[in-house]
Amino acid sequence: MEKTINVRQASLLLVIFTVALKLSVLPAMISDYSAIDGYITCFFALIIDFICTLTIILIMRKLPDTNFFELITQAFGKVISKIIFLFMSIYFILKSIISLLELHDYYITALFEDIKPIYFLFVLSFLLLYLFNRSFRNLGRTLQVFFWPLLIGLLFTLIYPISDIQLTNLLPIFSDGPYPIFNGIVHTAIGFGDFMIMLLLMGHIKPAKNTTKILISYLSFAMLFVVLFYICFQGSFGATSVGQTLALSDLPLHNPYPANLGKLEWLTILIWTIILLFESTILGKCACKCFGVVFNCSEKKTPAMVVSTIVVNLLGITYLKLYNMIAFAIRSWFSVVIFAFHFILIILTIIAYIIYQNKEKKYEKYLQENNAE
Amino acid sequence: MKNIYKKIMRNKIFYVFLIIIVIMFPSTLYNESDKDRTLVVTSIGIDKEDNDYKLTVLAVIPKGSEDISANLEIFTSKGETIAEALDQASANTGKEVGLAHCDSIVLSQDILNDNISIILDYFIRTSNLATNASLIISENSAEELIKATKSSNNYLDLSLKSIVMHDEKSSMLNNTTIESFYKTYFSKSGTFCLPLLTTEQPEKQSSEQSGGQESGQAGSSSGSNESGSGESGGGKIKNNQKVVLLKQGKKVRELNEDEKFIYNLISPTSENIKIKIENINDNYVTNSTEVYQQIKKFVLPIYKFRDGKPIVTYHIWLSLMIDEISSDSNYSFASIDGLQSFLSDIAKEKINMQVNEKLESTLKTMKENNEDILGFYDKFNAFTHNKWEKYLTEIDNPDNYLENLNIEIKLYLNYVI
Amino acid sequence: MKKNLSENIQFLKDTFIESDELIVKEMKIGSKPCAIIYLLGLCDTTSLSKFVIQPIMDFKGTIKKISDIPSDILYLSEAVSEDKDKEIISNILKGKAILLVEGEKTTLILAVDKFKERAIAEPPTSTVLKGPRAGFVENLKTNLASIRKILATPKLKTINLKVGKHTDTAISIVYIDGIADKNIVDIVNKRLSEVNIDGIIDSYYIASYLEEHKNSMFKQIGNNEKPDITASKLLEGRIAIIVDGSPMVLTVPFVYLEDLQSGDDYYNNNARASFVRWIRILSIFVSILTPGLYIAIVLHHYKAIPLKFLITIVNTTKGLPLTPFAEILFVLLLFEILYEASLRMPKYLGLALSIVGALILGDTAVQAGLISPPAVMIVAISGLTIYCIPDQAPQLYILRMLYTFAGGMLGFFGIICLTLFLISYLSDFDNYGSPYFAPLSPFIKSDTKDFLYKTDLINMNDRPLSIKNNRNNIRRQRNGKDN
Repeated sequence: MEKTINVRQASLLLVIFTVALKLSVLPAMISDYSAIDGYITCFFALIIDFICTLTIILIMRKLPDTNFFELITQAFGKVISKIIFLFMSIYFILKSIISLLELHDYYITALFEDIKPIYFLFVLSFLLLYLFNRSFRNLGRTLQVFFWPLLIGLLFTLIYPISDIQLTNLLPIFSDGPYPIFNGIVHTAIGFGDFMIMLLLMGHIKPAKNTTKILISYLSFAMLFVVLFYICFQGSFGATSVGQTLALSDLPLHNPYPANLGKLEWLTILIWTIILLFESTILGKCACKCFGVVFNCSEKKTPAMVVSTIVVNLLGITYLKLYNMIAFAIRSWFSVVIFAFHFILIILTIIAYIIYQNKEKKYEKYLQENNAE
Repeated sequence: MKNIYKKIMRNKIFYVFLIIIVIMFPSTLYNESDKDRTLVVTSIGIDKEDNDYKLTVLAVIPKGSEDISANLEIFTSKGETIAEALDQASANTGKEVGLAHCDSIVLSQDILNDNISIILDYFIRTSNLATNASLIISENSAEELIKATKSSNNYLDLSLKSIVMHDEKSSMLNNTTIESFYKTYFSKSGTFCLPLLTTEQPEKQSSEQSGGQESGQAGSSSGSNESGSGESGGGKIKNNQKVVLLKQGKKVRELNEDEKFIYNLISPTSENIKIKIENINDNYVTNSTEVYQQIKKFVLPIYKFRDGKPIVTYHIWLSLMIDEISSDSNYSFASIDGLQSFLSDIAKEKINMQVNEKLESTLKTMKENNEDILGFYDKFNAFTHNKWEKYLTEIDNPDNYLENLNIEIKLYLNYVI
Repeated sequence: MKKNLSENIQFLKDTFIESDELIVKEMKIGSKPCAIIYLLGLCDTTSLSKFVIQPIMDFKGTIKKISDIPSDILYLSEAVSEDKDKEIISNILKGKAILLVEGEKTTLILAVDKFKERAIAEPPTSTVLKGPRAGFVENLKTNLASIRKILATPKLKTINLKVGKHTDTAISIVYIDGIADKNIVDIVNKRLSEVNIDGIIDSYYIASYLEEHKNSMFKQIGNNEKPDITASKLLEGRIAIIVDGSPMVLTVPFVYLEDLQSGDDYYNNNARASFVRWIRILSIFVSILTPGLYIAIVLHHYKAIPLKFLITIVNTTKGLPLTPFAEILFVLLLFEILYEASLRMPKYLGLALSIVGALILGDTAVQAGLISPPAVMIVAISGLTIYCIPDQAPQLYILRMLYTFAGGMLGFFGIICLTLFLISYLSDFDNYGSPYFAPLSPFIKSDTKDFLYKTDLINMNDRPLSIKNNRNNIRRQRNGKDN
């Protein structure tokens, strides 16, 4: 198993996964379901993700040289495993499209007066084809270059809104009971499920001192940032939070001080563009990997070409229909399917690990018996 | 063919760049800038005329002058809805109306008789307008205020937004943006305060002004284009620091002086509070009037229940400095040690008395009109949720929750040298 | 070579047929006939006469074999025996004289070559306020001597090669044994040995053979013109390649950080050096992004500009005949023409033409309403900042153009896509095992001491891990003791 990515790069991929898709449309959607308890919904959803990620990290520690595909294939056989990987591939493609639609939404609402969609898709197709061909190591390194400016930019966008938080928009908690929170967690599952990236990174991370600690600490900071963001968002907007579909740029805009400094929300939009592009690249890369395993493609080019073509074509079809896509992913039965898919996947991983361990034990016992003879 | 393919694959990145540039270059080369196709609007005034909305738009039209005011032009248009009126403005000027630089929306007092959320609906939905645009009420027509803005830009380099921001710093008007309006509109209290500005017409120009305005109004449907700098000129903006109270989007009344004083005092963000006390007789002065200025303030509101009734106690730590003394007696400044505090016990007592009197008056007005200006419902609901729910079930009319509410102010005064 | 003197002379005359510079001086050494052959102009005739011809003519004894001649007769420090025709001809072409003796197949190669070379001076591309000012020259031996003067260690090794069918250019691969990675030395040696080319005129000719990523516009081989810089790079574990005839010495492996560093940083206060590093990093962004951002904002994102600035831009760009994109391309083109003309123009016309260029661009074109002042200012700032990092100038010029296209075509989105593409492309741009953006990506903590800021030399205990060097010998200072 080729160890291509170091712990810090893997941690950064995890952080981007955690932060992206949660800071633009999702806060408004969560507010729609959970009203004043939106930040609590986010908190609990992140806790669930944290537990799942921790489970996968612990499995990785026990099986440092096994990747996710090998684990599932050995446990469940080729046919079932390929079905699982195909679903995963579709899941990643869907999420990637949602990221790109959000990105496009930012452009047509905030940045551009008028953008020709064909140009947007044309350039994006080449870029995605190139990026999907890159390895995780390359993505990790690219992210390391961008990381500090992105982090400082994101933190900067929170500094002013913190002063604008009104506790009346956050309290009282659980005023309508736990149902809105649970409802919010289930219906906004598409925005969570960050542990999926760890499944794909299994077996590729170079062992280092304190691997678990480093991964967990980065993840914790990312989650803390997201929760803080949701608190700022809910605390600033209150009753009007449902209408703030570009949360990350609306937040500095709402507070008069950064808005009057002169278009500070543009800084957040630029940062957000990079984050969303990264997110869609990572998701597309994950889809390529799954696709490659399903169709037994040894080289990277074919899955990258196929997945990028699918993504760009679907993007063209769903152009300007972000809210339809979000509505489909959140309001309909599909959201429950996504939520269930997350759970099923993590349970399958645990089961696969148990089966794998049992097989290992049996094999060791068999070897011992043979040696004894 | 194979050789060409190999050659391309060896330098594929170069060929991709070439394709992109070749395809997109011609359109980019001939592409005019977006700003040339857009009417950049800085302020909008909305009046009501014959059941139609009359929009007065202050827009940037470059004239090559360094003077900002010379680069601004006023356009008017009419329509049954705001969207229609803006479309008319676009049609008249041949450019799309761009609201990205619009930082103030002026509403005339007439419009406040209707629910302004209907008027502002267009602005909250459009992605073009930044939701931090300020709302301002004009005592005269919005058109006059916009014209006055144009001329004030000439000699003061001011925009309406800067006047409002200055007001926000020194008063209870914390945030008068569209977003803030909707936040309170959807809350239980539904109250919102806006600044009221007026225009003062200079006497000499007033006859020319009225003539100019009439021709402007007659021609407004075809899109009149008035320049207000000097010739038909706007007046001057006057800020009497009046505050208009809206409830559920409609104007209720203007706040009186006592109310403004108390709300300014209670507001944690207001600066520059001035407290005037009269008839002071102490060690330093006799029968004098003293004006104190706030230097620093810290407000801690405590929401609790006493005997089943809600009570808000504002603990206010206030640092004051003497601004002015007007006294009958001939006191010599040099005879007083400059490090001594002017805030004698008598002065403190007088200040406390004044605050309590004004508070009583404010509370009475609040209860009589059932106006929850400070959003007590949401605050009690947030901080003392269970007791509040219980209280609401106990009173006869849950909408009349202010009936038993009490407000206390505890001032901790400190003199700053 | 044959034993017959006449035949040997004839052979050489036939080889150098129609070359009138070939001089054949026939004499006798004792009683044996001999001949000295050399090329006029390449040989130091004074040394030849004084230390070779005169002693031979004064010699009255007999010699048993040719190998005794240098020790018994000649006053030369270097005289080598050679019998291969190719080597003999090569040495004559390098300015050496050869001594042929009747009855001997072997010849003596006499080191009397002397080329006129320029004096060691400060190179124009690496000027410093403080620190050594010596630079390399076109002579390989002089350059090697300059390095040896600094690195007085027997561990400084050289591998000598000759490359180029018609130029027979001498190339030296220089490294410090025990510090450089032997595998990289072998790779470089192999690549240079495989070079089969007509001629090598400058060190840049062989750079293409050493590059790991072909057809890439990004710099992959380090270069410099100063012995102190080369010596410090050798001490970090790099390998230097010196080419005869070129003052530019190549070094591998290369990381992008190298071009952000300057000799001045190490001969100056640390705080100042750190501050200037940040200025250089900022200058990279300003130089490549400014025109692109300007055109993106003016064409697509006027909403991003605050109102007062927008009014100024609108006023200055009102009524221009060219579209904004065409205008910026025009100004960029004008500046490129000015740059090229200033390089090529004769010095006598320099002053007059610079005034014309400045007037045309700065004043007349703006007043005529052809271009706007902001465009001129933006391109001028960009052009100036490119030369904060002169080693990267060629790449920065091209990147500036690319970003202008990206900004004009797709605004901020185009700029971001291009940035993402470039960073992704360069993140895997490893050269000889060294990541291009090390120590930023992958993050190498120990190397950050000399990256965005520069710490005291006392704190830099280890050689940089970004460079693939001998990991068994990573410490470069240990409480003052030698490594």
